[in-house]
Amino acid sequence: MTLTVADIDRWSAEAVREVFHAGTARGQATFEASRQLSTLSVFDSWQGATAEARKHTNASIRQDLDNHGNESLMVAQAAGSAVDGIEHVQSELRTLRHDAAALRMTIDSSTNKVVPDSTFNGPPMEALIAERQLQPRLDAIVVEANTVDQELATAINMADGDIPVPLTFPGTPLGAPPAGHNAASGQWQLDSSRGYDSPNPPEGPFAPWRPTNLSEKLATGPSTGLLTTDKTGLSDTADGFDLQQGYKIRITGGQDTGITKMVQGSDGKYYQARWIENTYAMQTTKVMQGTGDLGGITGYPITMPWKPVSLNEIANTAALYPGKTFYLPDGCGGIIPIVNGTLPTPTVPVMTAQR
Amino acid sequence: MTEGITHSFRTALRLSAAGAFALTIAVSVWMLVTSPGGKTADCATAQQMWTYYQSQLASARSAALKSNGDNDAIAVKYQTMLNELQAYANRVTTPDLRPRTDRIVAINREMFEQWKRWVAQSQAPSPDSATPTSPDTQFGNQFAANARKLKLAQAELEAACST
Repeated sequence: MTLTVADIDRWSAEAVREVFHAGTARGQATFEASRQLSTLSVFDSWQGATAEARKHTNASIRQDLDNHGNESLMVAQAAGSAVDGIEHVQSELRTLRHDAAALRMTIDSSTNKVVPDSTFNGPPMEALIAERQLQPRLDAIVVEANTVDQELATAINMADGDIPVPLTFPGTPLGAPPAGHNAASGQWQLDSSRGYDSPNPPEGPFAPWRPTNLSEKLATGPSTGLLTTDKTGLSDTADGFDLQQGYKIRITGGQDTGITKMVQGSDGKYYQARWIENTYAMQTTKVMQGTGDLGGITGYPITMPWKPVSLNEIANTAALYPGKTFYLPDGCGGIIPIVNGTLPTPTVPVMTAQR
Repeated sequence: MTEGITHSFRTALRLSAAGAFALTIAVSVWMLVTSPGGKTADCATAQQMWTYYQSQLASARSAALKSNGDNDAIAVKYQTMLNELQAYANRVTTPDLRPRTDRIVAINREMFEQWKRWVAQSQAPSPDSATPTSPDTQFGNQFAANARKLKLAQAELEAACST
């Protein structure tokens, strides 16, 4: 249901701020209880089945406490964000009311419409112009208010257990790539579909990895621009032409390397992450350029079909153009420059959840 | 008899008047197309034609790098440029300029046909499309030969306009 301006007027940022403080305090208290339980030494000296059972129960209680603490903190976080949203929405509404009054207009709180106020006695066209000017601002405020309301409702539903709390992985990004692999050309991918009680790697068979469905824009890097090189025999030829070539690289998917590691999630369970190497394709654009006395005459370009290439092939092609930069897409909208056929120093990879 | 002579004389007079009129028209037309004003305008058109040609080449280069590199779309642009060049050439009427502008169009049409063959040969799967191939060398040589003809035709056009 869409909120009305009257609903927004009734909102109290202070009340929600109290929820934030209460949620934060409760979450911290729960984590503290969990921590103290883990350091209880009363059972340390016990032996036998009873002690084992007690230790197991302790672990379960700690897990429940941690889960509860996470939920409390999530509600607190949503409440804190909602406070900012409420204050912003109400501030925008105050400004709009002020501007409307200057034009002898007012806001109908029950219908969310800008209308002439009781003192308006100008021509109808003047009211229409003022309404055209103010109504879009009111509509934007109501949209923002609904977003804030929805976010807070989602957090409360999570706390009630009506919808699941999203799984998070403390400590992400996951860390360096495995030995012999480059962070620029692959990533840890997490299989969050199945959690394990133990950090020991599970026995196979494993679900096959599904290629990442990236949009064309995210998957494709920018062109190198038209480059010329004397390493192919077609640069500034005796016949008076130079073959110039431009290159684009795109991610076509990923290849499971079979390298795995276990990662603990916010629910205390362990999940398997796999190292996925990106697979690539490259597209070449070619143009003939006149040289010497034919300078100034250029041919029309042609574009070659996309061709699957390995990282080594990309590096080898880039090495044909010393000092020129090739752009490897990172799949997140960023690019990794390759100069002289060399990838940059590996960066920490970002872990992605399996879709 | 006298009447016959008069009739012949009148006919001769009519014919000579018609001939003089036709000659006047022909001379006027010739003077019009070869007048300094007509040639100057045609030289300006020829200059615009060359400027347009070069701007289209630059535009095609940058568009190919930005877009997804659709050769069919490039072919459409190429054909549009040829039509526009022909339109410029058609506006040139000065007798010693028109063949030269037509020649520039003809050379470009030949280059378009070569370009289409280059595209067709290049799209076949090859072990390595990133480095130059045999069609590249073949087209490069044809391109340079036609570029040379184009340069010559343009130089002749400029020379004709400067006299």
